[in-house]
Amino acid sequence: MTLAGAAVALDPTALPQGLAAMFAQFGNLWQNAAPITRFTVEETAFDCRGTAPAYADLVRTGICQPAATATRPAQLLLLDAPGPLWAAPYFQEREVEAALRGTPYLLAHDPDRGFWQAFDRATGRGLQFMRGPTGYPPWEPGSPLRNFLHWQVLGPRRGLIHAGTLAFGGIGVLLAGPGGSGKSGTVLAGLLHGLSSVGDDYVLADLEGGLALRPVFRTLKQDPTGAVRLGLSLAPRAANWQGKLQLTVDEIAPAALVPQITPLALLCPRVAHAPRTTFRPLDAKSAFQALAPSGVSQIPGDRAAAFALAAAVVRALPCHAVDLGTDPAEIAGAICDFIRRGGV
Amino acid sequence: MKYRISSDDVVFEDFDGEVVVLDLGTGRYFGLNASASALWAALSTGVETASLADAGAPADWIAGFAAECVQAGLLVEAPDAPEAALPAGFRLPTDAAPRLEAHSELSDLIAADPIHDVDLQAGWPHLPPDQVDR
Repeated sequence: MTLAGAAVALDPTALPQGLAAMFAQFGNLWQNAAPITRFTVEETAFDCRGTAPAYADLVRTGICQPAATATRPAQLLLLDAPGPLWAAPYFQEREVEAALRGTPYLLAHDPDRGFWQAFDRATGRGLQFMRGPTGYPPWEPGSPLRNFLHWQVLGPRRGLIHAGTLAFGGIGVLLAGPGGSGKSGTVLAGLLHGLSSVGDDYVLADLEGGLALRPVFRTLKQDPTGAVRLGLSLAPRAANWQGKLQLTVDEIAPAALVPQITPLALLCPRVAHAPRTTFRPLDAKSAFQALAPSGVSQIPGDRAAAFALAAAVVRALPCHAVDLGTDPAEIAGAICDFIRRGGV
Repeated sequence: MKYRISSDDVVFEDFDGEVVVLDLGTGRYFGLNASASALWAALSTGVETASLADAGAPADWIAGFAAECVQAGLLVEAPDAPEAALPAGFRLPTDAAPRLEAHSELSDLIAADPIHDVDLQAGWPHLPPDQVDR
C-alpha cells in the first residue's frame, strides 16, 4: 500500500491545507487496507487497518477493553510507509501546535525515527507512518497508540494523565511522581497484596460529575531489582527501552484491573526506606509538580490542555506525601488502611 | 517598567496563591513561592513596577524577580503595553523573598532531556544529531 505519505508535502505555513489533502486520500486507502485489530476505549470503537500487523498483539496485550458500548467510531490507518515530506528544515513542535490551533487536526512527528501520527478529531480518523512494520517508538508496547487515544478522548475535563492508581472497594488513590519515586513499585505492591487498580502509568481521568478514573492500558513495568524485591515470579523476558521489565496486570492479579475507581486523594510517594509507610499532607503546588510535567512532556499535540487537565485533577483531590517503607506487604497495607480511613 | 508573558508557550496554574509555570517550548517548569506568585500575578498582566512599589513591594524584590523571569524566558519587557491595575485583593507575602525554582528532572521520563540534550535549532524534544541513535 502506498499513500501517500511521500507524495504529500506538508508545509508548516499551510499545515491545515496539507493535512486536509492527506486525509482526502484516507477513504480510498481505508477501503483497500488489511484489517489489523479493533478495540474500544471509553465510548469510541477503534478500528485499525494497514500494514503494521504487529499492532494486533500490542493492542491485545496492552489495551484494556471494558465491556462498554461504543457510540463513536474511529479509524486508524497504521502504515509501514514513508511519511509526508516536511517542507522546512526542522519540525518545530510548538509552531505546529500553533498552526493547528482551531482546526480539527493534531500532528506528532519523531524526526529521528521517521515516525508520524496525524489525527482528525472531526472524523476520528488517524494516520500513522513508520519506517518498517515495527518502526514505532520503544515505549509504544507499554501504551500502544497512546497519542491517538488521548487525542480522541481529550476534552476540557477528560484525558489521559500520567499516574498510577490503587483502590479498595472502588475507592482509591492516584499516585504521581517522577521516575524513581516508587510509584510503579507501590502499584505492584498493592496489586500483589489484594488491592485493585485502573492502571500504573497512564489512566483516564474524567472530571464530569466528580473525578472518576478508568483504565486504558493493562501494562505494568518494574526494574529487575524491584521485581526481586517484590517477589515477582515472571517468565523470562527482555528488558524494555528503560531497562525495565514489562508485564501485564493479568500476569500477577487477573481480577485486579477494575472498570472504575473514585479517588479520594493524590499521593506523591518517595522511596524513603522508612521503618513503616507514613502519610503527611502536601500542598497542591508540590503535588501538581509531581503529576503534570511528565504527562505534559510525553503526550504531544495539545500540551496546554494536558497541563490544565492535570491542574483540575489536583484541585479535585487532597494531596499527601508518602514516605514508603521497605516491605511491599506493609506498603500495601498502609495504603489500604489510608483508603479505609477515608484518606486521613 | 511593564512586562508581559513572553509567548503562548508559557502557561501557568495557581494553587492557593502558589504558581507553577511551564514553558511548553523548552519543557522547563518553575515553582514560585508565595511572594513570587504574587509578583507574577501582577507583572504577567502588565502592572507597572512602580505601582507594585507603591503598593509596598520592596524594589529589590520586584527588580530581582522580574530579571529572573526575563532570564528564564517567561516574561519580556513590554514598555508599550497598556497599563494594568493591580490584581483585586493584591497582597504580597513578606515572610520570604521571591523564589523561582527551575525544574529539569524529566530526563528519565522522556526520550530527550529537555534541558541538556536538546538540538539547539530544532528545539526540545529533538536530540542533537550525535545522540540520535543512543
